[in-house]
Amino acid sequence: MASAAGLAAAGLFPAFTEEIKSGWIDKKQINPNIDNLRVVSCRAPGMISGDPRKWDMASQNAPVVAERVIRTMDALAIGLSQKATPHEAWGAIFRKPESKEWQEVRVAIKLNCLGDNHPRVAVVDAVCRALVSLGVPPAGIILYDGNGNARPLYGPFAGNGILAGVAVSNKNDLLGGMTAAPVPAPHKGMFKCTAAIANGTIDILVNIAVNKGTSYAGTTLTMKNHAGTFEALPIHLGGGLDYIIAFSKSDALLGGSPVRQQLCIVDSIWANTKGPFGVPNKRPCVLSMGTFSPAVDYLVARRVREPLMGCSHPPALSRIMSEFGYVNFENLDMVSVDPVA
Amino acid sequence: MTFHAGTAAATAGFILICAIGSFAARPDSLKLAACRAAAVSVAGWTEQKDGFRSFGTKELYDLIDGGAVEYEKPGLVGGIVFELAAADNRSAKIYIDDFGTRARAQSLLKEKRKAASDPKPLAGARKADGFTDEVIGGCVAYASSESFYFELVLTGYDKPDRSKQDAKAFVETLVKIVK
Repeated sequence: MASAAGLAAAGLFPAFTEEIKSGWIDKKQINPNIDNLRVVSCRAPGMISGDPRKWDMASQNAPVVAERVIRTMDALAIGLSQKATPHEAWGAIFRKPESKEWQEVRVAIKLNCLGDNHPRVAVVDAVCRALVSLGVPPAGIILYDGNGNARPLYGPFAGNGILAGVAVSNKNDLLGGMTAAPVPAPHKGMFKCTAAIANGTIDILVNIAVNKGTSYAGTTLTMKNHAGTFEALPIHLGGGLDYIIAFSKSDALLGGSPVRQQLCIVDSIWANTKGPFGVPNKRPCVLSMGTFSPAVDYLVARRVREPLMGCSHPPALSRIMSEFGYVNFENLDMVSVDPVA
Repeated sequence: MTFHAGTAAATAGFILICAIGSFAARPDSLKLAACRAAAVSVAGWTEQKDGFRSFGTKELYDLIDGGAVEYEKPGLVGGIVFELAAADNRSAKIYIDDFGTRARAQSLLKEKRKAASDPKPLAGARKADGFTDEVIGGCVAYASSESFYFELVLTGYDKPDRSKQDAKAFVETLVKIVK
């Protein structure tokens, strides 16, 4: 008869052992030079020339003024890192393992490919250009979504809106498929996770979400975006917000040296009050970023979704901060970055 | 071996209950197909290749992930989705769900109205039977009739009012089929 531990390791059911490894310990700094609670945001209507009439990828990217988005992303990086130039700023945000040169670094960018609203191509391109400016080869960057599938959406833009050479994975194929990975409390167990992220082959993980709603804490932002790095189904089988918080603390995402997930971005150029699927019904024209996923999500919910989109969120929203050991965060605010000329 | 009449009756009863249960768990595929055919026949619209899917609750999770929860909760039996396009860049994605009973279909519509950002009456429908909610480039129309619930995503419009006119035409067509 197979042991419980053996079955758990095979991903057949959650392990109930105490030795589940977490990537998070209270007060851990994602980046030693950037406060976890520093989240920058820019509202810039000039990033678009109008609204899409349809929501296929070509249509929702056509009105985006890519050059303006790239410069806005540079300004946000400067605001986040408090450095003087975009190059210095991106160099402070992205950190590589000491044992590697930049040209050896492997990067995965998690996109939200479910439904109709997806991170705009120019936002993804801005991150790719920043990484390449540090020395990462384009082929070292992999765009993926194990749930919604990045390949059909972003594949046509590689070399045509996104830096040539950047790889776009069919589900998790370019990242070794899926493997069982430990997820800590409050939903402890072994769950399927993108293999190259779980096993540390990926050095830098970038999380690019869009701004949508859901029934779990009212938001689908950067934390929920990793349903697609981790298997999504346990959310709907009773895991709910506990599972989302738990995988957000996992060693796969917050382990590594330096910490694997180094940047979290929310593209709220167009956004959904509801979700996680459906056509956007709001146009906040906002981009936000930070290093610590819960702070990014909490502030986007409170400072973008509520005042600019008329959304309300349940009290459970506070758990995304309190479960990471934070208190008195209710008055926390974003750092506003001026739109670029 | 002794054959007991009681055992036979119990077995027959069990089979009947299973059969009824199994029947009740299936959507009305004839009406769903008739709805699809009727929507496709609305003048000016053409069905898009590869846009059709039929689904039960499990398949709905594949289609819309966590969004499936609110359909599963009131008791979705099954449904279909298909896409139509018109020559001037308008498009319509139409979900038709069978909930088995009118009360269940109405309960989802009620929840959708509560969650809508700015629900407006669906022209030609009683308030209880449908509404629209504007999105960028069009509207989403929600309606129910008998045991069926309809959700129509209409995009590609310069003016939301025109999308609402199209929504009205589609919903009237679909309601005639399921009544």
